[in-house]
Amino acid sequence: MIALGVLLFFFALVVAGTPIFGAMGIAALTGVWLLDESTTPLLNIGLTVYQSLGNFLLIAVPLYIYAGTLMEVAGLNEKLFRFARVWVGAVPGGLGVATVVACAIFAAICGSSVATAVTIGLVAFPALVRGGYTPHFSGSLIAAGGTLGILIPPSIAMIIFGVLTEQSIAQLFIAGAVPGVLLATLMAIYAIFFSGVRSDPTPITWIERIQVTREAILVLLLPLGVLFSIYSGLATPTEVAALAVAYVLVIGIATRMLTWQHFWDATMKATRTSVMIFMMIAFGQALTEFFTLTGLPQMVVDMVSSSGLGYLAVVTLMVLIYILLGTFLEATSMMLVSVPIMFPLAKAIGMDPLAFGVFVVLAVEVAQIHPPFGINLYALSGIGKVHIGRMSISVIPYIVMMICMMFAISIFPQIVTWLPKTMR
Amino acid sequence: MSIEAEEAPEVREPGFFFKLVGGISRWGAYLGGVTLIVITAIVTYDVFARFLGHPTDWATEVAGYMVIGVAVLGAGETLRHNEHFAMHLVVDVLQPRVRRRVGLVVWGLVTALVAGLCWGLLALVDNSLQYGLRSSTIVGAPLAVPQLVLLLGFVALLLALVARLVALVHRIRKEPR
Repeated sequence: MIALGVLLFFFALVVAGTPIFGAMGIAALTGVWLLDESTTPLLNIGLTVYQSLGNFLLIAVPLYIYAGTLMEVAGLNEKLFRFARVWVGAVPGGLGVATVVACAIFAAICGSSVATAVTIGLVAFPALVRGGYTPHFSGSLIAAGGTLGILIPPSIAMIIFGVLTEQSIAQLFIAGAVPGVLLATLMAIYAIFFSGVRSDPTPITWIERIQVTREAILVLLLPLGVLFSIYSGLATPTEVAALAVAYVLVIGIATRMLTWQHFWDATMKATRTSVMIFMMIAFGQALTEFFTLTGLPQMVVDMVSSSGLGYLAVVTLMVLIYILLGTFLEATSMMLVSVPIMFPLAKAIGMDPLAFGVFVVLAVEVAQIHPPFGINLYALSGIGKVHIGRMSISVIPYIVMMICMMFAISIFPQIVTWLPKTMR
Repeated sequence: MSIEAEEAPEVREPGFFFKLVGGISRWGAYLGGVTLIVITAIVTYDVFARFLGHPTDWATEVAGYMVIGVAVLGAGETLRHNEHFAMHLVVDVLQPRVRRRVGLVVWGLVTALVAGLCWGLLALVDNSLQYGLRSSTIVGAPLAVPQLVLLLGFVALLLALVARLVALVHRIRKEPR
């Protein structure tokens, strides 16, 4: 009862405009005080914050943010988009397909959804609108394509999931690869058939293709290096993140696209973004510990077990809960609040932990493109001055694709598990 | 909610206190940024050292402690940029007078939380110093050091929060009666 009361209090604080980290901390501290089981609650919350931030696995989080921010400020996104454009622009809806391809490639460098949407959106949005695509179609396509950033490895969401559930982050990364490519393919097919635009009108010669590829080759080597290093076990996800930062710095300086001012701006921006995420992780851990104290996760498992619901019914219930949570919570906080409660439930119904990891990341993707917290929609609304309401409707097919993917990996977990099983 | 954060109310407030808090927050973020650069350098060095057959036994641990610096030293500056994630959808439809009062309550609660946390962290640092606690690794780092960095970050955040509360009170006082 106290747990439910605290959960409601948490939501009330969020609705009142409390920063999410504050809402989590206040709710956790209130809960511990109500339980009256600790004589030193302030020392305990201090210890929890210290231990959660001192987790070595989290080193990768600011590094992937840093790599993505450096790519953004150095303008390397333009090279990526031009590369995708010359190779797939000739098919119907070609610019749309090129946008999805550019998002997928950028996703294999940067682990953030909004960073992918913003970075690619800055170059793709004007090109799409000039190419005859409606602003709301273009905005929703980039917003949805951006979510590939947390599904295709590397992924900050996967790191947080791995830390919360003690799963191998390298395996989680690789687990997201096949669903990521499948989702990107679905998005590209949708762009081909439903954009209502023919192929890219700019004629492209083979000489141009080779020239653009040569210009982009240094950027294109990065996602290949990232994926190969993680898959082969050559380097840990943290090491790959640091190498990615170093690589972007080197090619940024070599191509003279990165100035000292760019570098410092990116460092400050990455630091503030990291602070925002880390604060939520630290206080989310405090809330998790409170829920564990109350036995809420076990209560949920017992309740569902005794209800006699089958596997598919529980999966459907989890999908609905995540859609509902995504309506009230921002993506990272949604993971931090839900995973400690839902992971035991997923294990209890026999769902593979890797499949559940991808399932949660897909749920986060849905949350990032549906109102009111669809941060990618707001990002694209800011870039293209597109009305958020119209984009919210245009984005529905992508939400359906993601929900279908959630069911697909629940029913056929091999989509997720076969590639990690082949890792050394 | 918008991707472009609104300007924080305390940023344009005149007076020594606000300037001091602004300076502390900014320098905290600079330190956090430099820490991020150092972490990148340490982890990259570690990879090359391993490939050259001389793996380090300190890099991951030291980088791990340094992440605490990245996580909190810029917390005050992140607040001044209004970049701590919050949902303003409901609050934004309130009348400005009501919104400012709700803001005062909300930020008051967050300030109380962070003040309590600072107290808890102070006790933690004191405990680590008193018993000379060190990590049970090869490095054997004194635990009080990363804990102190954590405390400093939250003190910077606490100061930024107090500045926000004072700025909000100023705005409420300036309201026409």
